[in-house]
Amino acid sequence: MTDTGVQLSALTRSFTSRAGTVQAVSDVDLQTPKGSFLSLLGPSGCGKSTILRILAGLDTPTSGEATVHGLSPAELRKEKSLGVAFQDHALLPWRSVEKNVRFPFEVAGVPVDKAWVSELLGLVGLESFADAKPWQLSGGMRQRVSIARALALRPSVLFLDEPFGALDDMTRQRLNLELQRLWMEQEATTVMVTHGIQEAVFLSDYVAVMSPRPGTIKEVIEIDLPRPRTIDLMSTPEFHHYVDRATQLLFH
Amino acid sequence: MSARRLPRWAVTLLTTLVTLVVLLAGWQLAITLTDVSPYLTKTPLDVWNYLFVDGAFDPASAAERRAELLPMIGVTLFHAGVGLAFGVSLGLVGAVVMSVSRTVRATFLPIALVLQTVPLIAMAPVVYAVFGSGVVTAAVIAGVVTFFPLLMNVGAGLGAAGGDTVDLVRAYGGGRLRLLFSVQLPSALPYLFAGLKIAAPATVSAATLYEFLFSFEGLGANLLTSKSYSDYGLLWTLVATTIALALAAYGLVVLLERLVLAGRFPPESALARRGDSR
Amino acid sequence: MQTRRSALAPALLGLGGLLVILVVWQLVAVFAFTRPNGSYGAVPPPLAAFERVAADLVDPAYWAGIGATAGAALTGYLIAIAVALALGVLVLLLPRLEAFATQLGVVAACVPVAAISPIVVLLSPPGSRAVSVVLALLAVEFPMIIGVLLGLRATTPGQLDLVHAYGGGTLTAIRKVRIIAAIPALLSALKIGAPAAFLGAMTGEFFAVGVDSGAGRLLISQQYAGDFVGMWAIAILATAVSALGYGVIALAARWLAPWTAHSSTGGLR
Repeated sequence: MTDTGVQLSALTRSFTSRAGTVQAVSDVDLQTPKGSFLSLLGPSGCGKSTILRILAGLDTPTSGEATVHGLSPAELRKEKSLGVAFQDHALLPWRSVEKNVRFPFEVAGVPVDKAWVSELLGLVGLESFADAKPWQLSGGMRQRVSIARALALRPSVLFLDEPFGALDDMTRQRLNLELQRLWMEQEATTVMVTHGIQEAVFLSDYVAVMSPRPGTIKEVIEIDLPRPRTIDLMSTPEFHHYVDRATQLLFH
Repeated sequence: MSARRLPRWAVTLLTTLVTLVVLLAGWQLAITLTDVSPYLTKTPLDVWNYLFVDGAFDPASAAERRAELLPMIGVTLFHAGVGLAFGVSLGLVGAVVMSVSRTVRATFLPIALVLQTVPLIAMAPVVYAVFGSGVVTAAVIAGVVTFFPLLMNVGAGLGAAGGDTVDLVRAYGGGRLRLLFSVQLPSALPYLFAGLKIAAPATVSAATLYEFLFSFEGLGANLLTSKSYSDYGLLWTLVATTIALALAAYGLVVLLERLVLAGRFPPESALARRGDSR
Repeated sequence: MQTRRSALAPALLGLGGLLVILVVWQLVAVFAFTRPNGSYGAVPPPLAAFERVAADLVDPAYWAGIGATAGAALTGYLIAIAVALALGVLVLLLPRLEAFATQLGVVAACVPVAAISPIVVLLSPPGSRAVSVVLALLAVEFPMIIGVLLGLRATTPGQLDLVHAYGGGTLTAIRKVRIIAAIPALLSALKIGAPAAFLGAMTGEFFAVGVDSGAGRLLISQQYAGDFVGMWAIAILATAVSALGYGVIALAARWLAPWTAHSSTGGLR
């Protein structure tokens, strides 16, 4: 099973509150190959973030199982080769850009690969901002730092939770191009949570379209478009075909 | 997680009771477990006996002792009430004027910012020197501790209405007064209560300080005389009464806040709490 | 749209405000509080008060007095910090205690000085500054507790997720994120607490028995002597000392936690 990427088996997560029990994720099955880019697409409350949090070991399922490369989230963590990025960039305001990118090394207890950190800053175009503090950067630059940080441990697995969700469309499109380039260099099995249809189709090999209450996967669309994908690709009928298919699933 | 199912007011009430019990028990234990003189120090039980048990302390009946307390409380409430009214109205007017006129704000806000950090209540002797003995001095001393919390909190509240809301009122042709009454004052309500929560107990403190230092009436003055006459039963009862009065002033504001804001503004914790499902 | 003013205008207006107050003070002093023989009453003119401040400043006895008050204030301040931090550790271990910690702070803030002081004086030996220490402690405790609690809440969920996703445990989160994230709120509380502590210590001297020196004592003795200019000078000096305490911590905060103004953390209420 070494060629398995993400594997979800009968994954269920329910929350109990005063208002009753909510099935955030209900009996979800999913499998992707190693090194593929998977997007979880759906409206808010469909459980996409919950699945990502379970995979990253930040939440535990009520029942069922979630593995990446055949490893449980806890085992995956011990490998020290994963990366995460959130919509809330979660940069530490007291650390410089460079020290923020070093942060995963410190937490994971791995010696800092200084050459790689400065190379990463170059890859996201921030080498001249290494000593800047997060508040001195624009929103787009902060998300680039967040992406650089996600790649710090040369991850074989990458978890992205709406990494560019807070940005304007143009910045977002540009960063998506950069993300594709970086991802192709890293060959990491990637799971991204998004509610952007075009973004999901543009970046992914597989788009899992989800629906809420209870959170389930309606269909997994395989996106068979050549890489590297360009802006021009977005005006082709093939691209539109996938976007239309996902839109239909989301609204029916 | 049973506390989550309790309504918010019940949690607050329970916490308050627990806090009071812990403090009273701490007071009782601190005195019984150490070898301080039982002549000088009284426990909560002694205070209870003083207030409600005939034959304890002095020949007078408990009812007589309670009757002596009432006028003292009345005088202190009067001093504190006048001071609170004085400080609150001045603070409200100041905040509205500062919100309406940018020039006034720019002129006096820096000074207000400096003055609110300084030990104003410690200047009580200066106020006494200027206004002499009487209710005016009490009002000024109590007003001084009320004015700045009100000015700063209500000022922040009037400014809390977002720029978009201001533009909305303007776009529909609303003038300055419409903006003030329809938007700014209502949105300043929670801030008003935040200011009152500081101000109400502080006026009790200021009023009793005035009485202690410069007057012969009220709880403060009797705290001084009971100590001089070594009437320690009365002293500790007055201490408990004065503290209870200040806490009651705070509690009253909290209650009023709940009643006025309920359903109109989100409870504080609802803003801070994270949703369970993601 | 409001016309854009130069950055100088607010500073000038602020200065103007100071001037207005000084002029009103002067007029009140001259027309309402000057005795027929020309000597000053309960409100002396500003110039006379500031002249006395200048004279006080070179008098070592005044320095000793203010130093003694500041010493008691500092003692109460430090105890309040220790208590607030201890409560913070408790809340960190048992979040349920948060409401209890807040209410302890509320009680400390509500306790009237005239109620607690006679008891402290009763139980401490003559000449002790205990009452000043206790009043300083009570004045500072509430802002300190709120500061600590706000500091504990200053960490965003995303920052904690980040630590845990990379395998960091609770200790790592506390060490690398939570403590540092709490600094702005703590500094803000320390800043508010500094003048409050001086206030408390000074008020305590009104009650202390057998204590002859200190800013509060000077104020009382000058009141007995009818030395109004001296009283106003002490009031101005005490204001300056507590404003200085505030300013020093504000400066230190800018140096220690330069990110404060740019993050959503920090500040009270």
